Amino acid sequence: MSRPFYIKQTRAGKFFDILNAVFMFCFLIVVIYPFINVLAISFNNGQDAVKGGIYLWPRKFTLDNYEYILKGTTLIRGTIVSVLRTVIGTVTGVLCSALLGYIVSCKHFAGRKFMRIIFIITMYFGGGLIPTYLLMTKLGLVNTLTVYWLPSLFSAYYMLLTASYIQNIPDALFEAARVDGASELRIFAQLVIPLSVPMLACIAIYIGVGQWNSWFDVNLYSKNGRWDNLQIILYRMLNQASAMADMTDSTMLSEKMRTIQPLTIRSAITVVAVTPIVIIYPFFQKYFVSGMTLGAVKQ
Amino acid sequence: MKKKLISGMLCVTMVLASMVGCGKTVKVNTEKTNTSSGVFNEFGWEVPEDTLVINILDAGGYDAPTEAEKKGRENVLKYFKDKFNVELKIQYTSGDGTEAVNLALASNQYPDIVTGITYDVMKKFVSMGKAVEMTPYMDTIGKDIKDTMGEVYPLFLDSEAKLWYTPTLMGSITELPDKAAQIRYDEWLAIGSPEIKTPDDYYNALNEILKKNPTTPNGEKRYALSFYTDSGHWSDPAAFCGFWGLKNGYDINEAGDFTYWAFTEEGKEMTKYFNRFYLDGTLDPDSFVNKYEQWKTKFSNERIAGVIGEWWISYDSGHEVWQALDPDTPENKRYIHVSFKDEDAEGAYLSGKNSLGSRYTIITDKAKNPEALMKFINFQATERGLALTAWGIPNGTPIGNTGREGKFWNIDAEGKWEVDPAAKQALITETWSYDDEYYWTGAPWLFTTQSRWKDGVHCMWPNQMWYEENKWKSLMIENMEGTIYDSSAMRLMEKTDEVKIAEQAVKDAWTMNWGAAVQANTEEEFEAAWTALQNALTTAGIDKLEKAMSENYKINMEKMNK
Amino acid sequence: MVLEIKKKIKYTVRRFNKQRQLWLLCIPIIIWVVIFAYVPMYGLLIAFVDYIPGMSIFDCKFVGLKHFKDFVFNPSFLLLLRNTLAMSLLSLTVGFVAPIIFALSINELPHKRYKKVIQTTSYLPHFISWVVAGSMIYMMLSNEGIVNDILMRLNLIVKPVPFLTNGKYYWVIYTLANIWKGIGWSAIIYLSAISGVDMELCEAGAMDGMGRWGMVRHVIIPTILPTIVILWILGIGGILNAGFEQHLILGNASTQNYWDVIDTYSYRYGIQLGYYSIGTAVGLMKSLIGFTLVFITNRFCRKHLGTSAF
Repeated sequence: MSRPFYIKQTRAGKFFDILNAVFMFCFLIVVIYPFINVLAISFNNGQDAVKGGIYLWPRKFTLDNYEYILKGTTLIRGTIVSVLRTVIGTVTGVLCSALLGYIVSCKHFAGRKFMRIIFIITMYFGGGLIPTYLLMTKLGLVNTLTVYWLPSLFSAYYMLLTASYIQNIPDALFEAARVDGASELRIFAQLVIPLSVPMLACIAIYIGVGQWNSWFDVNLYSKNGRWDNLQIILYRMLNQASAMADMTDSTMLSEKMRTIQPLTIRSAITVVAVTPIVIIYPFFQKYFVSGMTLGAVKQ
Repeated sequence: MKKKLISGMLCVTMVLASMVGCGKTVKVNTEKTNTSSGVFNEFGWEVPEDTLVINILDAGGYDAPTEAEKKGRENVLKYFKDKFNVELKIQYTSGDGTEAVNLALASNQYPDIVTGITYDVMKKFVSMGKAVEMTPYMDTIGKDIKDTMGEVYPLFLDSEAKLWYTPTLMGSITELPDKAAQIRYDEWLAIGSPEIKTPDDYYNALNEILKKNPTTPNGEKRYALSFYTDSGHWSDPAAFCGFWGLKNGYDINEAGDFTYWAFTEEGKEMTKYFNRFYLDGTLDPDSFVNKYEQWKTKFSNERIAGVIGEWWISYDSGHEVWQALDPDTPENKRYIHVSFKDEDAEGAYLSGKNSLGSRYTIITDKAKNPEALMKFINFQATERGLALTAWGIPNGTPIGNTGREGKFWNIDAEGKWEVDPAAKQALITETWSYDDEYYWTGAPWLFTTQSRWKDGVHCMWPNQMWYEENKWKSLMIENMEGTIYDSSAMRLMEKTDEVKIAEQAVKDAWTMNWGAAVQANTEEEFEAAWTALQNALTTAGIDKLEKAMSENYKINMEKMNK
Repeated sequence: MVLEIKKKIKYTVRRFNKQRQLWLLCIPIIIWVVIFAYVPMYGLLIAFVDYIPGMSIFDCKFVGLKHFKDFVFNPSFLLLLRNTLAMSLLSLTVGFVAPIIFALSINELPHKRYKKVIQTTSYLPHFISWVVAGSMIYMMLSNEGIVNDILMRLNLIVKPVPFLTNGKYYWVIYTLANIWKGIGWSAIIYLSAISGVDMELCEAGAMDGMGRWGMVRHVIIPTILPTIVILWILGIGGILNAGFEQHLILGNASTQNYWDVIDTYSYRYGIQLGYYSIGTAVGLMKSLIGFTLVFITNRFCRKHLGTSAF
């Protein structure tokens, strides 16, 4: 048991512990089962999967679904683009959000309310798809990698989260550094960042997953296909099926419907998209599962 | 201080915004490509001296995720370059192409040809003066197009008798039904092959089948019918009314006035018919919950005895699944098509054939050489052009890696062509591989027609030829004779905003209220639900829709009889 | 008199110098936000004209508040509003509290490994698309689904319960489905906030004789309260958002009266038909209402809870 020594163990406490453990176990099942199910279907033959009845393991094992989606050289480039944009987008996004969060929590900064407000306005009011698209075109950002991270550098949402966390760090620390002649950027880099690691890790996950999963902006801005990422390639495969839904011509529809079995392809796509995240997540998780951190003031 | 900063920012924003809002003016290039050379290739195409470059935005095509499709497109592009001296530069869209085209319009970045667009988008281009009028070419370089359009040509013209677009896929295969009632052949034989001529016959036949086999081999309960509700594959009461003599869900009187099915006796009878199944307990209780996938699962597990819908649905979810999983499936374990009609009905109007297509091609004002482009589109209207577009590259050029040589048809140096005998055999014996097709097809469809050609035999779909020699297809055609009608004149293309909104509201109204009538437990419940349905439709503006349909029909009939 | 003004100026200048670096840092940020967020805002004008894509907004016919009026005075509006509020309020109460309780419960687990396992897997449903989730829910709740099957076998019911066809179940199913899908993912931020709790406070509390519940109530919750408040205030801003994709999957024709919300309606009658103006008008309406609510709630929280978003 790794409970801190000073916590008294009562009967009510023990009862709660058991209840908690049981509840968590049920929750675990409810949460893992669907994923195992998806995994099983993804390894199952398409025609057979249509008949249903697959629960924990495939009935007619096949690698066809994965072969279908993993074939082809564009997938390699797509994966590279995905990784690039996730890494660049996450690092820049986290740093910028943290910087902004720091700026708006400096108690002696007269402009912090102003900065907060101009960002919060952007959370609710936006021009919409067409003006944004026109802007990107004018700025020459279409068909580049930059369009994936530059327009999302600062976010009001993450600004508020980091600000709330940084506010808890005693100001005395920063004042001391300032008195010692440290610049704001230095304070940010050497004090704020190390002390906000749990929050930064959390934001990194949110931003990272957002970058990894996004396909809508790729669809919009990657016209010549050079900067396609993994998700858009998978999305297109999946959407062949639903694009056919608009077909009004019966014969044409029958030609197309025969060769696609959306169920198993969709399951395989889910697995391919989620697996990297599942692998990487634990590395970030350790930053906030380790429990309570020591008080910073002591340092 | 704060106020000043904010007002300063607003000024900057205004300035920037006004700059961004201005569109760029496009310079039209007046240089023309030399297209005449006097040299014709075996397809009848005059090969131009300078390479003709055509930029196309294809809003109806899909990106090509499969290796086969990708290879196919590469090969087609190369073929056009080599044999035609035409370089096609195509940009595809994924999913809903309309969004992409709107953005292209907004940013003034669209190419010479935009294809695969809906009627509304086409109208937008025309109303903004960004489309090239095609009428002047129809009697000269575009005459194959006009010929192919045939008697429906006037329906493509606007109110000023001008042609602005070509359909990407027009025409129809007049013997091939779209929709049918389907029943399983072996089960039908087992109950004595009763004649199915009226709705009651079908009802009785299904009940007999269920009595004989009330559960599947796995012990699951079977039902007579089930529905599904996905966008695109609706179990559509308007279609069901065909058995009671209505066309496309409307009753049309001699004067050409349209009445919506929910306000007709026939529509009520149709709903009562399904209500009967419900009261018997033979209607799947999840009929109004199923999405297509769930319906497919039930059907593949043999839990649903009958189906009324697209003709290939029972193939796709039925014997094609069974045969793929178990090669020893008996031949008779598949569905056949039957038609029946109510005694008072004129005919079982199940398949309305619309020859006008639903996606269109235009030449935009960015085209430097509209005549050359018109020539190219016209080429697709010729027999050899259509063959090349739809059947793909001829002469067994080895392309695919499936072991087959990609031979569907052959053409010699003089331009004589025929379908390859081996391919024909594969079609007849239903061993034709659809995957193979993709390896040598991939040309954009700027103008195609699926009607049968002048020789009465060929058509653009490989597997719609020679069904007389296919046992099942000929059975289907025989049974479904008389259920097909031409509905081109009924097609409402010009819709005002009011009508568009009414259409959506009407759809909402029947999807939300029809199910209650079908699942009514008593006579009173049924009447109440039926009235509720009618009230909902009236609020939705069904009269606007009926009026629009009637007027459109009358105008179209006049156009064609002129 | 002049001396006082001089002093004031000197004071402001000195203050400014102190913050000079921060102001300098702000300049590129302000430029960024003007370019990427404020410039495209002219698109809001689309709501006031009959917009046709391809034409510049300023060339389109100006119609003032027509689109807003059309939407609000539409006969379906009250129904849409009811559905939207019902579901978003459920999300803001039950749906909001669930991840917090979940995070606190995880924190209480004694076994480190068990804790880790739960944390690493609880977010998986976030990645399962609604389409997949939908077919699972169908499997469970349809008339022939697992739940009905079990209930019938246990003789608790005679006829299957129409979970998916009777509208009155819809809101509950929607909320539970959203919770299932999002609880693990949303808990991440609370877990990270919990890990920032000061150990010293805990020790002090223990010495004061606080039990586990006391610890949670007086140490942990106050520490994470700022995070909770921010997320809740921001959530209130989204009060008129009540899902979109979920309804297309979980809902069907029979339950449409319960799942049709502002967003689904404006999609069907707006974007799908090519009418961008309606979509923009509805969006602007939601923005204004949301923004106002955020301000009001923020002020309220600042006064009564001591913390706020801004």
